[in-house]
Amino acid sequence: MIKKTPDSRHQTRDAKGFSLTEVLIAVGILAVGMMFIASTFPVSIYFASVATERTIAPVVADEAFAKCKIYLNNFDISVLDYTNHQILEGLLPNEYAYPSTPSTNPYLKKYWWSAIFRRVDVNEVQVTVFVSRKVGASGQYYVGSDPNFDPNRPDAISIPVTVLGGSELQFGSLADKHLINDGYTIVDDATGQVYRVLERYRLPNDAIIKLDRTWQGGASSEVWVVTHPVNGGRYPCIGVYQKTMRF
Amino acid sequence: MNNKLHNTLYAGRMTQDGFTLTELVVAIGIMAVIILFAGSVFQTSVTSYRIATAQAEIMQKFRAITNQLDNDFRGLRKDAPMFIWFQLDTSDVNNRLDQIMFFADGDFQSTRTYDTSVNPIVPAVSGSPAVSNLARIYYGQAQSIDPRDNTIKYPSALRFIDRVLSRRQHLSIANPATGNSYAQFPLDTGGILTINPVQNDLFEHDTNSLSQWQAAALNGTNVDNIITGCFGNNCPRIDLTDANTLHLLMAQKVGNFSVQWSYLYTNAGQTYVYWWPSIDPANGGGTADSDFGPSGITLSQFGFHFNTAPSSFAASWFNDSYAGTMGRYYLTRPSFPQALKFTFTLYDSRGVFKDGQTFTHIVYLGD
Repeated sequence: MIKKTPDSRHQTRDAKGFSLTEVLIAVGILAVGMMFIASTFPVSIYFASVATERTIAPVVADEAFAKCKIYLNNFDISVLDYTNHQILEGLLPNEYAYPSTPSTNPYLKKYWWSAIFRRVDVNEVQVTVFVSRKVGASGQYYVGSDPNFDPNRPDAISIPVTVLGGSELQFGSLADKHLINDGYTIVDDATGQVYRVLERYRLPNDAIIKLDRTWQGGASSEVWVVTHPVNGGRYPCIGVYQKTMRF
Repeated sequence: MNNKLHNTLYAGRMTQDGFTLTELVVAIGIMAVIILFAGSVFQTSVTSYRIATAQAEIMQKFRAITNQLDNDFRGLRKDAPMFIWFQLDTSDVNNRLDQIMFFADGDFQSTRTYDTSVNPIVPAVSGSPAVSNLARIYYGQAQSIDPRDNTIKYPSALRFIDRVLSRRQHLSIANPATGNSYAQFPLDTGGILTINPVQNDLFEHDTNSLSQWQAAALNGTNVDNIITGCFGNNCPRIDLTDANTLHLLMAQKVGNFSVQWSYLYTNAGQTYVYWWPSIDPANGGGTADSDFGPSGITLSQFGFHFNTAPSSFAASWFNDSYAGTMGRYYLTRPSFPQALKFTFTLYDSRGVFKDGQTFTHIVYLGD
């Protein structure tokens, strides 16, 4: 017969098994470790989508430049200003989308572009194209004061700024300050120079932005930017492309 | 005997060399959680790898097609005819099976080799490629193998994912003054050209010069013969098991190929850029104003012939002088359009993107 004394069983358990506390601590450490690993995955998915967007952006820009060429070729460029950009608003709504061919497919038109242009020589026009992504079919965008703007697509808008010197700009109107944030790309209306916004300062200086390099333009200007959707969200602009066309 | 076994078991129990059921359950439970976690991580990375590979494959194909289109249209001869054939895909109104043929300058070389030591000179296994600075170039979807039953079908009978884009080039080569001569193609009988569709796929050369093509395009019978020899059901025939047809292959898994030209249209004082033909030209969202149908052309297959005005040609073909009479859908420029827009849907080889990805590419032809 097998005989077990309560004593001997108790002793063995104490000597060789894990206590509940030990198991809980081990599982806790494991959970923390897994959480660290898991937290890297959204980052890799994010970068994968950024990579796809950056691959498609030049393709969209190519199409935008081709349409600007067709549009401007039938446009009297002698009325254009050298130190003021004009936004290209004379195309049909779908033409700003990529792919632009009208379709009865209910797929979302995900990529959109917006172009501004100014004259740089008698017969030369500088065109700046903003390529953006639109998330969700019902997203609405700021239209500024121009009634021709379409709120259904990410479009470039111009915002008045004053130069504080160096690489700092202040918003002309305090109401505009939320329209430009860290990481946004802006284009000087007068010179067509492209800048990247490093940061918008915290309160009480939150109407001042710092650029990636010294401001090259005049003391006050307007800057063009594609801003976030009206109800908030990610910065939609994927890339800014520039080209000078001769007519 | 029994006693010995008992002793062994007893000894084992007492020193606790095994695991209790509870311990095993806990261990397996923890392992299951870890494996589930690792599995989902693995799944995510495999999915993102598959998507990235498929995206790379599609972009590679996109670049190959657009670079070739850009190269070919850079040398477009506007003094020679250009033909565009429009064909609606009856299975899906968003898809088209368009075809285009034009003449271009450039550095052209045949894919197959020509043996110049035999008479007449035809493509051969040995020899050297033919070269020319002028070519007749065709883009369109080809007859190809349907993997479901391994037979060659017209593109309209293939699934979108099995369709193939073809580029067919014919280098303009004049016969040498002495010695062997290139097989005459197209056949020229007293100024009347005949294009044999089989030879059109087989050969990569034309023995006609540009001026002969220009003259031919002024004659209605010739234009008829060119159209029937090259377009519609005489689109390229690609058999992937036959090396003699591979020079016709541009890209596989191209589900839709459409060609549109730009024109300006003024509506309520504002001038817009429109693309013809389109199923929704004004971007209104519906197809009521489609260029195919009551307000446009009622044929589901028809062609356009640019730059010359022969007296008569095939009933389903129009030339640019007829265009002005077709509602507002006309060419606003004399003869050649200002730009062409190509739309195509590309699929990856593993079916990651089930509906493919649609791209557009604009080729600016100039004023």
